[in-house]
Amino acid sequence: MNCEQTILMVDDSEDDLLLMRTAFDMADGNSLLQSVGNGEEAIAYLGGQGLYCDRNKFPLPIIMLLDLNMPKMNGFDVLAWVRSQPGLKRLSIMILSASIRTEDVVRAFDLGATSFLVKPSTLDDLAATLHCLHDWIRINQFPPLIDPIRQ
Amino acid sequence: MKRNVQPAKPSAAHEMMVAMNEALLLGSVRQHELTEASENLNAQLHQEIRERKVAEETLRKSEEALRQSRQEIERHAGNLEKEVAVRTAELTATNKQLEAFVYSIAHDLRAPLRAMQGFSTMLVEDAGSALDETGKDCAHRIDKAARFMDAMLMDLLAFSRISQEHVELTSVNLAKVVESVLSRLQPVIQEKNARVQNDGPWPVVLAHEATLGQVLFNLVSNALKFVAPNVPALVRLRTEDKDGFVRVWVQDNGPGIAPAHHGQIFRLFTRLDGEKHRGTGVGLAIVQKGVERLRGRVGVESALGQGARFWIDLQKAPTI
Repeated sequence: MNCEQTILMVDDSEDDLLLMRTAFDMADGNSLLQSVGNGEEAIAYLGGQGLYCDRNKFPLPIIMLLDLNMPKMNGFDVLAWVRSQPGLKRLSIMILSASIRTEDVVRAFDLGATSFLVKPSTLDDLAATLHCLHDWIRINQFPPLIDPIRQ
Repeated sequence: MKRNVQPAKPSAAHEMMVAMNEALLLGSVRQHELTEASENLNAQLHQEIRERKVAEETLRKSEEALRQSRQEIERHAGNLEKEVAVRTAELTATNKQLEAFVYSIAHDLRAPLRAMQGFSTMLVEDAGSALDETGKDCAHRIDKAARFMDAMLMDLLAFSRISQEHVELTSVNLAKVVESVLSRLQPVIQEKNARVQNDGPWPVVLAHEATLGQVLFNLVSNALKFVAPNVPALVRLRTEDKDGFVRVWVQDNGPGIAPAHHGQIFRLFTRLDGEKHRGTGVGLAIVQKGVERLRGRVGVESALGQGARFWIDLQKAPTI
């Protein structure tokens, strides 16, 4: 398994994380799914802080699936933070939100989101979305990131 | 003394004096008359002046009263304007709150539904061997119920959006919208082996593209859903010129709708079909609200056993 292909999911809903993990297995792609339950942990993960300093266990992701609606630090805050980090700012960030409001989509892209995906309401649709995601990973050219740990 | 005194001839001087006397007398009478006349005239004039002064005073008082009334009216108008502004601001705020409320309710309610749908599916797939037919059936029903409620929430969100959203009418290419709707419905058309007759013609209309798309999508989607048994769906789309509007017809070959129900079906959460077709009951309410925002009209012609012919009237785009 290619260690470079880690996808980091950030969502405060345990149910949605579990469903994503299940869909991941169904979609059978060539990537490893890591997950965190809030914005602060997402930043800790990307920054390699605390237990996330073990990059063998917690590799830097090539894609971050980011929920918007989280308490304290929401998806927009995390997005803005990543885009402000010189080594991490080119990370592909896909908003994965239940929101379909235009102003949220606009704000996400204004803050530099790579794409905006709406959470599908069925497991099958979620697996289909992941299939698309894996196809996209295959054809997309990913920019190199500078791991904050190395700085 | 001689008696033979001839009476003196009136001398010229005497005559003149008499004449003068007469004249003076006459003059004095005249003068008296004149004085009387002029005194009368004076009195008259004074009277007229008094009357005029009274009239002017009355006029002045009326004008003053008019001025005060006008000021009063302007003051009231000013107050009214302020009140309207305050009420409008309140209404706008309430509308925004309502939109946010509807949105967050729908948003929050969809999350547990994802869980219900996903985990009931996983139940069958991962623990299917431990479940008997009843167990699997239960899981399947949970799945269906969750999907249905999600569909209702999505429709409610669409209804709320169409009601609240700022809609600006511009020239819209009707042909393009119809094409887009039909292409989105391709999977359903193919699955039902339906025939869609697109007769057009498709002029340019004055509308809001997203709203129009939603309206036509719902009408065609319904037409594909309501089909007579054992007959493939036949949907016909055409337009005609009607009283200066562009009337779009969406015809189906379904069971038809009794005239008694023609008004009801556009109401929120009103379904005539019960369990069979499982519509959310919001589709036609969205159509009506959407057409309202487009400043058009909607209606239906149908009777039981005759299929249904829905029509919407759209504004014509102004020709340059």
